[in-house]
Amino acid sequence: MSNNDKIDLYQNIWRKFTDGDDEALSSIYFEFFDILLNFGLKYTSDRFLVEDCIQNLFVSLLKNRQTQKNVINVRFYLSKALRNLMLYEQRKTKKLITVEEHRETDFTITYSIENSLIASETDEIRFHFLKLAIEDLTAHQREILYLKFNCGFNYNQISELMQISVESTRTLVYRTIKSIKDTFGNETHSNLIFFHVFHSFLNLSSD
Amino acid sequence: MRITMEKEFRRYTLDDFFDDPDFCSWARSERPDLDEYYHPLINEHPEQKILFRRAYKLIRLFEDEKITTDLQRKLQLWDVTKSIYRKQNTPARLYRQIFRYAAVFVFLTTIGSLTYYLISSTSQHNNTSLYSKLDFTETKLLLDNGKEINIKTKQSEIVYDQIGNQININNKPVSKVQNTDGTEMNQLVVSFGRQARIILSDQTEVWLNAGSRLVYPTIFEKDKRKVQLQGEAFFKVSKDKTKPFIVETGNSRIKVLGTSFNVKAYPDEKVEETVLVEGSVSLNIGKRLFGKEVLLKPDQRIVISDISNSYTVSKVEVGNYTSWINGLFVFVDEPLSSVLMRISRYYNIKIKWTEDAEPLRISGKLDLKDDFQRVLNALALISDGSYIHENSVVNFKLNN
Repeated sequence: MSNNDKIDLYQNIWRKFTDGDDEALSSIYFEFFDILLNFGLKYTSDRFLVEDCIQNLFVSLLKNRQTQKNVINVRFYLSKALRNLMLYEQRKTKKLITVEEHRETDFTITYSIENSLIASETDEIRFHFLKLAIEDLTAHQREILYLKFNCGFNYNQISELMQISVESTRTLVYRTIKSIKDTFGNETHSNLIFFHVFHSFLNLSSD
Repeated sequence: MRITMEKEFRRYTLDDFFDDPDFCSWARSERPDLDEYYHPLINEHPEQKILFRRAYKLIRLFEDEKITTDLQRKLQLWDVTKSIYRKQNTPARLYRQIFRYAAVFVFLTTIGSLTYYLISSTSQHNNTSLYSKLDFTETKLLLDNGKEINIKTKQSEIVYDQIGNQININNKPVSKVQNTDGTEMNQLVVSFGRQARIILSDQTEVWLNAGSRLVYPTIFEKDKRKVQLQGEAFFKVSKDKTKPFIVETGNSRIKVLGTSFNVKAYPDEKVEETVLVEGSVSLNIGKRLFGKEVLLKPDQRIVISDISNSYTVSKVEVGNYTSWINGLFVFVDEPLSSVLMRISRYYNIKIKWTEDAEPLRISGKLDLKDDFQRVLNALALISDGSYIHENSVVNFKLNN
């Protein structure tokens, strides 16, 4: 099934839900729960917070079903709503904590790509190269590449989600990719290293 | 469409690859149907092979660790979601019904949805409902294999070994845990008038005060160590950065990595209280539903109100809150009623008090090795009150 077929399928289920069929929403819930959980975990390491927010998200969907008839891409719609809820919750907590000065650590976007590779890769060199590739990126840059490469959102969607213009979205993506390339040297000399490095990270056999 | 792309393919730059949604989906393994297209294509254009692979690998770099949730938990969370919605939406739905149907019908649906809500909300908490059936008249250990062991001593010690094979109660081996995979829940119920210390399989030490329950697995899950508490306990959590230790109480979820802290969460008290001795803990107040995250520092105490989930954090002398494990109750500016409740639990006697005793706050120390009459005498003295002990009930009142 191609992506577009899937999008159409979910859109149909979604329409059933807005027409009053709660079962339709439950099938969306079960289909997207893990996708949303993994998405949410990029913004916080607190799984419970993500689960809370997913729950709040679906409660508000049930409450406001009438106003949500024009959803085209369900995955995008849910991701965007979840991101907003999570940022809202985090801002609230942060505010609370600054007032009472409980917390030194700041919220940063944690990419599980770092965690998973650190956890599973025994080879320190691989980890070192990976760090090189991403440590210079800002949270914004990591987020944008994640949204593009992992979630497969287009520029319009990313711009809507991150609330920046489509032009800035494009520029930021190009600039970020360029900065990764630059980490491994310039175009002409980088092929070998670039390859070697990525090969190592991913443990893909070169064919 | 494919044909035009093939024309351009030779001139594709790295960025063109990234802007091609089909290519990106294919690289993410979402479009196996495009294998037939890309495999021959790359053989026809060896000059593009380097860029092609690069683009492919960069996309794959963002492939993340997929965390999955088991179906049971998803179902549970979905039930909670629906019941929250139902709860928030009931009044509006009722009004609509009133206009549409006869009053009798409204009455029936109300009962129906209420019952449904009650059923669905009890089914969410398997473990909690399991232990609410128990009473606190005896100290006992309920094992995951269904076995129940009564413990007679006033102070008892239960020790699990690290692989969860052997349990010692007061230095005597009692049971080989059999026929379970170790993830089933055990419970330690400490009756009124008793205390216990338990060492869990991760070597975390827990002191349980009178009238408390601890629910825990023999072997913890791979990614977390979760226990449930009703009552008061002092935790000395063994360090394991890969597995956070989580204590769930009626009102909050307390998450730590390795630290010691005291939790008081008796269902019959209006507030919950956590005091941090060392390390750091984060509390999720209200648990799942719109929970707030608060971080405690050493020497801080958080008091959470049962009803509103509002809370206050203050700096305290932690020794006062943990001294009970050494047989000493220390009260600093505590309501007399809460002191009487503690004594009632500890000595397993019913205490009633008059309303005017409610707002009075007292400070002091009580040695729990004393018998309860001496303790009550001391209390009567500092609070300017008196008590009568008859028919196994103590009536406490203030002198006017």
